[in-house]
Amino acid sequence: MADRTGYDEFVVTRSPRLLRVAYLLTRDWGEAEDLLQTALMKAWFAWPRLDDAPEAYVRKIIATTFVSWRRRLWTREVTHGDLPDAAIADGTATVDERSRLWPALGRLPSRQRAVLVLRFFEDMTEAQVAETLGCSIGTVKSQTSKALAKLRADTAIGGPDVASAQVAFEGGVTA
Amino acid sequence: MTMTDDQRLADQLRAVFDEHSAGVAPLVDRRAAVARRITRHKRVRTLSAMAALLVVVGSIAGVLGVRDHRAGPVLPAVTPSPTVSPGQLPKYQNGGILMASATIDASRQSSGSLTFTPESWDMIVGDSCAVIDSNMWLVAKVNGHSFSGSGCSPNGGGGTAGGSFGQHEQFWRNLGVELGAPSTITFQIGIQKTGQKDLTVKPRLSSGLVSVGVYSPVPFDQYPLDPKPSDWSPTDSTHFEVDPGMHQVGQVGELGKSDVEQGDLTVTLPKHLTILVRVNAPGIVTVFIDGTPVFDCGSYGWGMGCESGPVAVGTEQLAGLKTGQLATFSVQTEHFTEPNAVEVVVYGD
Repeated sequence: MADRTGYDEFVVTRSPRLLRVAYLLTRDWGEAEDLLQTALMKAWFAWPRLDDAPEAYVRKIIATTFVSWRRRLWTREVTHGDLPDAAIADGTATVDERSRLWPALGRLPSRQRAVLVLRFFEDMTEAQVAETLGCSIGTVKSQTSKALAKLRADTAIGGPDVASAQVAFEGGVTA
Repeated sequence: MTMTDDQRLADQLRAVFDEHSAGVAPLVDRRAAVARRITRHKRVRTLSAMAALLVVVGSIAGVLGVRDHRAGPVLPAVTPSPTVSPGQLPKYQNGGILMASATIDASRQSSGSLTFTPESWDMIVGDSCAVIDSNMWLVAKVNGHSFSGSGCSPNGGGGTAGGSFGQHEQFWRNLGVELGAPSTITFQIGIQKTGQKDLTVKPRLSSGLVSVGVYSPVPFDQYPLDPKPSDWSPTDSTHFEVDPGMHQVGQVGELGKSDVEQGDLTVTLPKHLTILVRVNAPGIVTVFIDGTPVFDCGSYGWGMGCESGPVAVGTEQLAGLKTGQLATFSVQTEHFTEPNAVEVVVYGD
């Protein structure tokens, strides 16, 4: 029988953090739990091969499964019927900026959202994000840049740009 | 945009991520939920894959031997097995017929045993654990050697716990099995103990039935196949998840659209291979690499399939092949009654 020593302990100790990652990607606790359990199930089968990096493996499954889920949904995407309010710079306080960031994050394409979560919640390097998502470092850089630009345009954090806000919205169809 | 602006936005993102993910998640028994998923997934994998055989490359006799065995003793014509009660084993499953079994009443005893005398290395062990407490596990040993672990559920189902019809002599010898001599399967139900190298349980009683049995192969043309479901579709098949690190190398055939035997697939071999066979009808599929059979998938249901891997190229099961070399995959099918019934997808990393 395959050696799965440590699997249970891993599930107990690391799940809370991994669930937070899954939630930031899916923005729904139910979907996040489903995503985490899917990843943990796959990790159980792969456990004997994981050596000393099971968390990186599970995080990778979470991120790639999330992106692939969204890709599938993308084929039957539903667009917003109304345009969002144009972003206007009005010297908004920090708290207000944060309150606008969360919905704006939800309008990002899945891969861009995944890049931001891994970069700024998991504090991963661009190389680590590339490894996790299975893409090049250049792709991570460009996705990060595009995501930040859309967030700025959508929230006016760092300066308003109505024209780019429109672009951001068009690219921010949610699945 | 200056670095300062980027940094400010990054800081805001960190704060937003921290705030929102700190919300209260629904309370779930995650370990039990994952255990149930593992069991379901394992059953899907084994239900289909136990009938599959990964043959050592270069050993054509291996597959021929299996075929010879399948064509072995002629059994009387049979009809599809009736539905079995939860916790009991079906007479037929995965190309095999139940030769011996033991069933316990889980409300009265937490363990049981089955002694049998094998006459062939071609056998699979089936199990079913149908108890009220879905946190419980069924673990089995063969001649005292750790063998399998399956999650229990109220409806139990029936699955394969281990073994194959692939003449895995060494597999069974490692468990102390000898042809013509009695072997004993002991099984136990209970709550999983953590921190153990092997899956072990702390015995517990629950309401329900638990069975373990041994199956021997039945020739394909005499196996009691279920009739085609009324809602069958040519694209119906098992969904498999391959490891995220694996990427698709190529595909031969497409369910309901193109015949798998009409074309070959030539690819550069990666480090590891996973061969995924999806079928929409009962039949046998053999995948060849450069003319040598490497994967044999017997499907006894409608819309099932087999998954091989991952297997390291150049290792025991794919000996003689090297990463980086060009290799041609081809496919042979038998017994299929539907057109374009097979799709073979090759994954690698």
